[in-house]
Amino acid sequence: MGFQIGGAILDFVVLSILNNRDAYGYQLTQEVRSILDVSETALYPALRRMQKNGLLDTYDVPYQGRNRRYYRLTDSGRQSLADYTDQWRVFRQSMDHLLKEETKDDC
Amino acid sequence: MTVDQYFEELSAGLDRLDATAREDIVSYYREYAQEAGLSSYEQLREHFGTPRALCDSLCAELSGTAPLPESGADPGQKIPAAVRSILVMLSGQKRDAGTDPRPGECEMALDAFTGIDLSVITPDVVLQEGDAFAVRYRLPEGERLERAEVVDGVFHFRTAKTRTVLFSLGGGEVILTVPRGTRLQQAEFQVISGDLRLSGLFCGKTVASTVSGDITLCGGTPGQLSARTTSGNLLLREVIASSVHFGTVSGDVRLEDCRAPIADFSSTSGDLSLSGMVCEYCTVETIAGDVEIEGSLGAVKVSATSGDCTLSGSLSGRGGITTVAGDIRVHFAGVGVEAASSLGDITVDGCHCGKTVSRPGKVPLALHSTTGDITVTTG
Repeated sequence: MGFQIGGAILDFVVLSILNNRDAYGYQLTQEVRSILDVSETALYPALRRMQKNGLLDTYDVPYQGRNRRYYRLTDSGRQSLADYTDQWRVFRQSMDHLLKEETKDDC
Repeated sequence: MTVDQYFEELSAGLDRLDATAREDIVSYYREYAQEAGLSSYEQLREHFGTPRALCDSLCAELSGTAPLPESGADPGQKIPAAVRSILVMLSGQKRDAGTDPRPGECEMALDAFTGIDLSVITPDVVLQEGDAFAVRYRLPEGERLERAEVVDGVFHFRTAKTRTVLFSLGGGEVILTVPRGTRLQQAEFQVISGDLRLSGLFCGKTVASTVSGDITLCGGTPGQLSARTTSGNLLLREVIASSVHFGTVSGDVRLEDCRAPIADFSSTSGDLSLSGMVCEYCTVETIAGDVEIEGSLGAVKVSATSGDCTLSGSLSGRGGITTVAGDIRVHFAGVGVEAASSLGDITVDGCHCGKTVSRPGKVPLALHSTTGDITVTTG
């Protein structure tokens, strides 16, 4: 088994986007795809799972004679984002430290 | 073909899900299509894949049996290889730096057992022969041991996810050792992403399942063997089983020099390759996988949609191969042939026979294809 990027990275990105503002499926997919290399169909199962786990909920807004379904963070979602953010900071510090050492070696 | 037809096909293909889930999915993708300006069946297929492919992917994802969704592009594209190497180095440094054993690491002797009930998430699992009953394991971050004990002659080993780890380094392993010649009654292995490797297994009934991990059996007699993967491959080498039952979505299945009176295989897109196979009754069903079977066969029945089918060796019972678009190539000495292809060509022993052919023989072989070519040699 080689190195694997955990599926949680997708959750982290979605939670981060929704922490800034609520978004509907298409909009969310475009924002995720600007950061992560995922297919257009990848997001729905992740949204369903996160909704089922209580991290997100939805509400509908009428738009041009139909509804747009918006996703927003719940309190659990905000807590989960805080946990991911802590992990991310630790990781980033390790990377920064490692890259600094590499730069020294190069000199 | 219209947008409505696409969504009707999608909804019909989701009949495994309840009505609410089905409506939610269709409504999500309809809304997405409207926002993205997708106004024809072809555009939808280009963005989402065929309704069937989308159904398969959604059902696998929603039932929790699929790994992280991937696009067609190189999965490492957004994470440069150099960064990935550094992450591996980091994990290595962590392991080497400490003097205390890692909390998820242990080795223990076990009481004798005749049954195995193992369920883990990430680690690779190995069953091997040795001098005594023992288990050695190393669990990755984010996974903890829930149970490791022998009760009523059954070894139970179970792990659980402790938390979601943002950067999973995968890894971890569970190595289970049984004394040489140990006869197990039943063994059940469930692994999510780790590989499963069983060697010299001597068991009455073996059940193995993974999501993305590969399953490998080398030697041994697993009894009634049932194995299932989503994307992992199945490899069996020199195994003698009383029956084999394999299912996979996209994994490939390869059997080399195996024997089983009854064998059935099903795949969505995974290829199937049996060489040196000895089987009295063999059935194969696939949608897009290619099928290659070589061996000493009794009755055989193969059904493929777009996969090609190549069969050779000896056939002593009734044979039947059906494809829609796949080609059929068969080499069995002395068989009688009933073949028909609506749009493909039929060739028997080098002679072009038009669209149908009927040649009686002791062993009947029926071959049907809609658009595929059929080639038979009986000499």
